[in-house]
Amino acid sequence: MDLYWIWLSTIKGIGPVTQRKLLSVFGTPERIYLADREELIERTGLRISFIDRIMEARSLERAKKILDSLNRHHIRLLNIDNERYPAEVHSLSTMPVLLYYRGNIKENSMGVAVIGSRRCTKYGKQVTLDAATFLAEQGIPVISGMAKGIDGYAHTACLKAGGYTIAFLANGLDLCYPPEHRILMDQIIEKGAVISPYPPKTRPLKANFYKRNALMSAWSRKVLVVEAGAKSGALITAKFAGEQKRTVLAVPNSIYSPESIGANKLISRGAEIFLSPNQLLPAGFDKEKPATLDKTEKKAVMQAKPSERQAAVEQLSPLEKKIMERLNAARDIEELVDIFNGDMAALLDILCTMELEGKIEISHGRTISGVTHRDGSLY
Amino acid sequence: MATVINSFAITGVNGYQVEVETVTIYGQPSITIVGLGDTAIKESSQRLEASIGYAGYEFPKLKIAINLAPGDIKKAGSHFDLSMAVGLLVETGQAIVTRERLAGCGFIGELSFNAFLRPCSGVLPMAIAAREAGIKELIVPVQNMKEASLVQGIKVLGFTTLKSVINYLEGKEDYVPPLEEESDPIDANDIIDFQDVQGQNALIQYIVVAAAGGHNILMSGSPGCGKSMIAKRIATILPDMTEEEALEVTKIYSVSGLLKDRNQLITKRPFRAPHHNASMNSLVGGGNPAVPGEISLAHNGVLFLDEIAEFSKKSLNALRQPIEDKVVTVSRVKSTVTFPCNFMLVAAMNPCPCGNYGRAQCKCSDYEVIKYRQKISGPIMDRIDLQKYVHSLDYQELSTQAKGKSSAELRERVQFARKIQQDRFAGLTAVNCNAQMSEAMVREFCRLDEDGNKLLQLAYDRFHYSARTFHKFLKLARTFADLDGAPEIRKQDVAGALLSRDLDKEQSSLLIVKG
Repeated sequence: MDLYWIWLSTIKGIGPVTQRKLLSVFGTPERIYLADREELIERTGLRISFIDRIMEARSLERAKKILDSLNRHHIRLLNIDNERYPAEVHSLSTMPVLLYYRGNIKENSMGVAVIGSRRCTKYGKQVTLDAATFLAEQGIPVISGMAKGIDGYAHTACLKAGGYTIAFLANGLDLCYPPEHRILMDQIIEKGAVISPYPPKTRPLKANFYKRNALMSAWSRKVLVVEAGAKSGALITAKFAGEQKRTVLAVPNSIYSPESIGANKLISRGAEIFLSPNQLLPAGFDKEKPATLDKTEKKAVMQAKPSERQAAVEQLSPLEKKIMERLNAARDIEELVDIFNGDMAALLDILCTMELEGKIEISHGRTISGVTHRDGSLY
Repeated sequence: MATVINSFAITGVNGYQVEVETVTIYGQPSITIVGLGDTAIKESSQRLEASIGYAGYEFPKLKIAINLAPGDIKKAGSHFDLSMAVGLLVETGQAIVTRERLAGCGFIGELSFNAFLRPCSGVLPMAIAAREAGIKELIVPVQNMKEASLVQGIKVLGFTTLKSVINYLEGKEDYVPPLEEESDPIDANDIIDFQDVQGQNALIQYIVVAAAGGHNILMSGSPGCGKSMIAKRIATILPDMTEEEALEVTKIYSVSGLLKDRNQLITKRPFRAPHHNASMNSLVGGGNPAVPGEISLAHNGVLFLDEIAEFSKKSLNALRQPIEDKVVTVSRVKSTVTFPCNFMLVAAMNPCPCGNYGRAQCKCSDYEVIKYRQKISGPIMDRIDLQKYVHSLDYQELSTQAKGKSSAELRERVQFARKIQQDRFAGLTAVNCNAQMSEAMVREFCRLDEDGNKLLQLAYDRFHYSARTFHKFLKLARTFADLDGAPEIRKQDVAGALLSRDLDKEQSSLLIVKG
């Protein structure tokens, strides 16, 4: 059976729309394969050139090869008759009739896509982390494309929060692209699924990404574009999402940030402005729950409360206070050494203790910063 | 009876005596050299013929056979020329020298066609071998005289021509010592000093710790921030070499042919910086006959691997055993040689593929960063105790005229800490600095005071260090304490040690999934 599905989905020049038409007439791919020329012309009413293509492709050799490599790489098949293939997806006539996947596609696997550019900023990373963690905590699948940058972070954050995530790839599932995501891919397969519309050995060519992007947005109830440059692939996904009547959200950013030109443009064209992860909840999701402030809002609220910060500062020893006061201007360990009259050892001592107690953060071996806590208080 | 002349050959970094035996037999004129010589030795016959002629002697029209005994060890080099020429002239009666006289002499030197003597490599170990063989007079090319004279208890004579050597042996001429050369111009490497490094005081603190405890160090920083500049100066703050150490180093340089233009005892600790495309053999030593590699040339000094992530995995992994054992053994089918390689490893790398990690312009994803860093295998990382960031300086920091501490000042501190360590490890073999402590020794020597213990506990609870990392911290803290002469490890020593692994710390904050 699988063999004929593979055969049907790999006929050159025959797309998902025609495949669906053939299936509606004959019922199964096997019957399409066995039908003769006259029968095809008579029953389907397709153009002769299409019929010719089907007749020319009437060999199972390639399909057999693909089936062999599927077994070798533990890749499984999902056709549109399978109940795990979401109805909201396969009802779109351009969606592939057959998908390749590894891992486990659970029931109600449609989720929220978190996508963005490969070269992202710290800001983009933080938003992705917060959004994906929120979705994981709400039990909503995180959909993304496993590319470098935002995509990779979205999957990672979701997995770290114990959530379910699906990655849509534009290459065969026997290879990992980008290669540094090898371990990430293994983890996604273990805790979620990777899905591709392409058979094994397909390389991640530029042209392959359109089909993948359309599939990815179709599988999502909402699409969040975190950061997208002027020509980012995430914009194409957003375009498909619009066509498929999915809600598109975009993260606002400085108009001078080259990484966010595309995202800001989406907003100007009517995408929903992303201000809090609560917006990612699909319509009708868990309405009974009492409305709580999510972390982003909390952060914003807490930072506006000077009294709490004041209280935190008062817990510090006089010496620590002196250091904290200086942190507004001084950022380097060396700049603080004068507090101790040049005694570096004594300074390192107190800084190290303060860091371990979570009062400051030392990054890159010498840049000090005050810690912004989850509850928003800055010491 | 064949004429026997003493000469020497090299195996590894040591010399041994070779007896050059010459006979002439009536027959078809020919010359044959036996005794497993390499091509340079085979070609000696041409140099012999020409130089003997030009020195005013007659090349015998006889069948000549020369044997380099012992005949079962492979020999290499052109320095047998002089001994063969002397042997041939004595054998044919053109030079009248008694056998007793010859037995007390050793000869080293290559001949030119015009019968001048040319300098050769490996003279120092050969001179040591000569002294051990009980030879009283060692005749060498004048350029090698200084080098050979480093060996006490043997008379070293320097000559420029074959003719003058023969005249001296026959007693026709007295030995005239060559004129003292003027002292060498100052090498640019002799005047480098830590004073030149600006605005890196916090880092230099850690460099001192590394030098004091013999800890290997990795510096990470963007291109042009001064990693190489600092690395070059590390050798200047290491304690002075003992005479024994200096001789060891000079021997290695002598057999590698790197002593030719210096010709004197190497007293400065070596600094070697092989390029990252260096082959494994050029790093650890190899070839046939085996010659010392970069790690042996860095013996008693500093081996600097710039862009360590770019070195091939094979080359890097080959360093694991030498770092541990302080010697490297190069095995060939016929022979095995052991070279010493007790060096301090100083490595440098970019923090991420683009080099600007931590700054806004860096757009490397965390997975790319981790992949880049994992190019250095775990076992190598394990042998590096300190990982520090090197910061690029801004204009203000560069333009201040304030000079840092000088190398001499820093060396004093290092020497102070080393002295404490020497006393600590006095009864123990194979350990002479904190970095080499085994786990049992860590337990014995790294005792913490109460506050120090508390801080370490706090750090342990927060970061969940592995046992291995934990030991590293203790070793480092020990060195911090030694620099101040403190018997117990104090809180501030622990604090210093905890801040010495920048890369590890940062790694824990990357957004990645682990396998």
